[in-house]
Amino acid sequence: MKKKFWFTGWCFVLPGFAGVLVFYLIPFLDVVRRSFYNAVGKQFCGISNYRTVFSNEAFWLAAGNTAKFLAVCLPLLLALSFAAALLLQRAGRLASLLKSACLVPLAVPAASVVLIWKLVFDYHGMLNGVLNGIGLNAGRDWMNTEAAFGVLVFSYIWKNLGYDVVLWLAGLTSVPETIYEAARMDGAGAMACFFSITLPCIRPISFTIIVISLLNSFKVFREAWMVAGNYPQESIYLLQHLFNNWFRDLAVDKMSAGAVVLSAVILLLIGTLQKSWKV
Amino acid sequence: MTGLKRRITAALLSGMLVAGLLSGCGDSGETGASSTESGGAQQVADAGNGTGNAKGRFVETDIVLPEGADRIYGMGKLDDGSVIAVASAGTTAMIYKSQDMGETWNVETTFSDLANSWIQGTSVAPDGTVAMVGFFMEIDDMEEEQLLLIAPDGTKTSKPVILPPTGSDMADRNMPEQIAYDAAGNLFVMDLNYDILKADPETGVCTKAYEWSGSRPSYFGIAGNTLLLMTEDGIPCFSTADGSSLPNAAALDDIVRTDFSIVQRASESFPMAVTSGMEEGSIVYVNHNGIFYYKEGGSVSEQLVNSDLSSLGTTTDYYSIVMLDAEHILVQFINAMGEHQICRYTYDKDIPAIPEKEMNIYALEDSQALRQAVSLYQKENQNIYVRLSIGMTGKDGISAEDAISTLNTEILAGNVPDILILDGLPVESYVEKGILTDLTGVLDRIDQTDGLFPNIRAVYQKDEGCFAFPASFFLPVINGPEEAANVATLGELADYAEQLKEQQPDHAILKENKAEELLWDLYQMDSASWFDAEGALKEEELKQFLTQAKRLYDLDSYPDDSAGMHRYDGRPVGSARNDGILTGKEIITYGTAVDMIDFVGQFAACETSGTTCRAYGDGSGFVPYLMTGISSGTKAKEEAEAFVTTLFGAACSGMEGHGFPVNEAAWEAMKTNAAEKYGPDSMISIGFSMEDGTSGGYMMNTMTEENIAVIEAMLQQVKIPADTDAVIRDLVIDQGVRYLKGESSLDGAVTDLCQKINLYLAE
Repeated sequence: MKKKFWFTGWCFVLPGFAGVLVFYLIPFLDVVRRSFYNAVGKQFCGISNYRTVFSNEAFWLAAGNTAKFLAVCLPLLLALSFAAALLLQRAGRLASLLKSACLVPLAVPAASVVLIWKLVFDYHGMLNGVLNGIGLNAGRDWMNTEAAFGVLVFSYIWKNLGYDVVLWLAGLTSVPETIYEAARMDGAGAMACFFSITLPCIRPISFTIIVISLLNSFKVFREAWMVAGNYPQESIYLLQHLFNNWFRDLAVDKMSAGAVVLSAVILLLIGTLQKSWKV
Repeated sequence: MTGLKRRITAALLSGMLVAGLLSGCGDSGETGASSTESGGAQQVADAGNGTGNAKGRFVETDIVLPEGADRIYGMGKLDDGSVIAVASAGTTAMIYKSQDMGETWNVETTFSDLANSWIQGTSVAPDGTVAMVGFFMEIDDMEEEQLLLIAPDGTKTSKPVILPPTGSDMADRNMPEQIAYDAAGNLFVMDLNYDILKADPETGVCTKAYEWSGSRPSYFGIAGNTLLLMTEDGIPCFSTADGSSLPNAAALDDIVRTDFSIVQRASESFPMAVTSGMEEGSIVYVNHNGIFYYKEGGSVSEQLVNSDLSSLGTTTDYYSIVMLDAEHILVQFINAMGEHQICRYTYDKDIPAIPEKEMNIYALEDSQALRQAVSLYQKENQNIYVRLSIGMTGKDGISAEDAISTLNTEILAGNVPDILILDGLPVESYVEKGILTDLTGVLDRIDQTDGLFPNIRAVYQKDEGCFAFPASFFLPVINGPEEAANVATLGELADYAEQLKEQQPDHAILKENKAEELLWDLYQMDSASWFDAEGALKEEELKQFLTQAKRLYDLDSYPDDSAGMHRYDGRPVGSARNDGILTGKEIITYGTAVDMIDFVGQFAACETSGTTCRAYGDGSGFVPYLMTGISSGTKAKEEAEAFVTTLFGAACSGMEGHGFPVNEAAWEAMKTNAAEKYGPDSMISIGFSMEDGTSGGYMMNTMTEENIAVIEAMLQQVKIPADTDAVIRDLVIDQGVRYLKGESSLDGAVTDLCQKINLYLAE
């Protein structure tokens, strides 16, 4: 049976694999190669590009901000979305409507989100208007203050919450009801069911959700860039800002080395998660 | 069998998917840059002449103007094939005739003392009659606008022009805007109402010839017996014989539809000229894309001359075109230097339709000076096609950053332009990455032949070589009372300006500026001192800059409700304005002087108002313009070096309005030209309304030897280029505008700016 379908199977896998190969793997191999060459890619320079990157203050600032963003956002998003999914699971007829509502932010274009940010957080924005209205003289451009980081976190959570909720719901509904019924017949309470059935059963899917959320977190750069350009407030200066600016300056050498380092960190992170999850 | 079919189907589907997936990877044959070019070459190819080894192209030749002629009002072809040009030589108007296609010109007649005359329009009838409308001193002391007719035998007759009254929303007095003869010798006039009228030469009476209900025309031209109107909707045509409307010509409408700016330009220039072709019902026209041929009823216009391969692309002001025969065309236009010029286009069947060699030049922003250099080089090198790519054309909303990213992608893909105009590009980075080659050899050669200002050369010539060099530069100047002109810093300027304000609280002290314009001017004047020897930002200098800018901005409380700046060639227009001092509106003016005319006005202001004009600060700062580099990967190094020699050469780098030349020979020519045009004997004057409502004016005769020596001393003194890093400049102006408008505190603005600039520098 397996032999009979291997050819057909490969045929269907091949297009996708070819795309990944041409658009991701081969370019990435070129990036790895370029990380050992000078900017215009003609002269081998060993690990000097890596040394340059590791001694670059902007890189450490961007890496630190990106790490801080991940450290704050990921647990928050996972916890909130899981809690929301648990509530939605018990929402009865309203569940479908609420689920759809949760997905609305995903459909909002980044440009519209940025417009709203500007309307709210600009010097002449609504937030300052409200604060001034209640007697607090708060004339400031919020996106140029430390508050910018909070806005970015909020935006990421708002945008991705619904998507994660849907993923969690998929995991929760995949747990067979019969197990819960059997446990309840054996006298298990709600807490026992949650910790002894729900959590172990959704463990495999939680790994997928974490990885997807991790990768989605890098997309928040769009909003950050659109609202504050290449040089935003220091706290929201992310690795993508740095890569973008390096490209403007044709610093492909540093950019390649930085990309390889970033990829290695992400792979390491995912590998560690995978190992600890025993997926 | 079923299994085999399934396998084949699966393999086919899979193959199709892979092919579809990868189909976007191929090279479409067009680079990103090519989308920004004017597509002239392609149109030649489409016309059937430009593919493969096709031969045959119109070649441009400069026509030497009739001796002494410095301005040409019009040109026309007579029935006998000769050409008439109406021109002025000094203060005398002349009619010249050429019977050898413009090779030589004979004076037919002279008339009028033009010193105080004003000629609004000219046209030549096929029988040789010349019609002119304007005010003529010799006729009626410029009392009324006259229609002056000069018959082929030199007989002059004149009648006052009698036009229908203007509408209520127009000027009180109607005036003719344009005139043109048709092939039958009928004279047509466009007036201030934009009506097309037929003039009666016997009486001077003009009566409405066409009822036109479409959008208002901004230009009209006559080709044979066909009258063309340029409107916002297209170019409708009419018969001049019976006034009937001719069938709609989509090919002509496309001129407007593909480039609407041509209609806007018509209000202040002649963006197009038309004439009849050799065949009945054919029209030949010239515009910034080149010369085109259109046959009545045809669906397309055929390009005869590509503006990229001629001087036509360097201007947008075409006065007249004459089709001498099937292989010779004359065009009269104003060139990039602002001079009147006639070029002849001769068909050469033996040269390639498109030059076989190609040289690519990239500039972030368009520049007339650059186009002039391209045109000059192209004229001297007919076998090379110079492809000028502009990153930000202003037509497609591409930002500087997008354009730079596209350029970098091209560079990484190995498609490096042969020549890079580095204004706005990351020069340091390109030098560091080895993108640019050493210009020392080229500069040495220019130095030996023409000479280069040693102080400028010293700035850019490093031990490892010179990888970028400007073609010209601007000079930060200040004009005002002696104390103001002598200020060394912005702080001293602000102190003095505030002191003046206290004395004259109701009088404006500084020139009117929006926040962005003020910061741009001050940035160019002051930024040279912001960085230490290691390139680190001096925070205190930045703080001082913003503090003083705010004091200057707040001084006169000018309204600031508009966004952006008026710009020309990438810089604010009229940066070093002097009109405010002359009209009595303001007391101090500052900015960057870009040519001798700027100084003519500055010195006139000094004479009239008793002010002093000096280079700002210690006089060492300057703003480089058209920074140029040759790509290290160029395959046309010889050609690229030849182009750079042209660009830095005497013929190019001394163009009015485009900075002071780095080339000493060009500077000598500029001095001579200025002394001739604006020396003590100059009769050119400028009039304006004074602040108190009275009339004022000044003679443009301030280019005395002493004043020229003053300017020369300023040029020889400069040694510190203003910071031209577009990233830092944009950050400073962006944040500075917020501070000036009170949207952030000084400390907040400085902290924010320092953080961002240091971040940029750390990258």
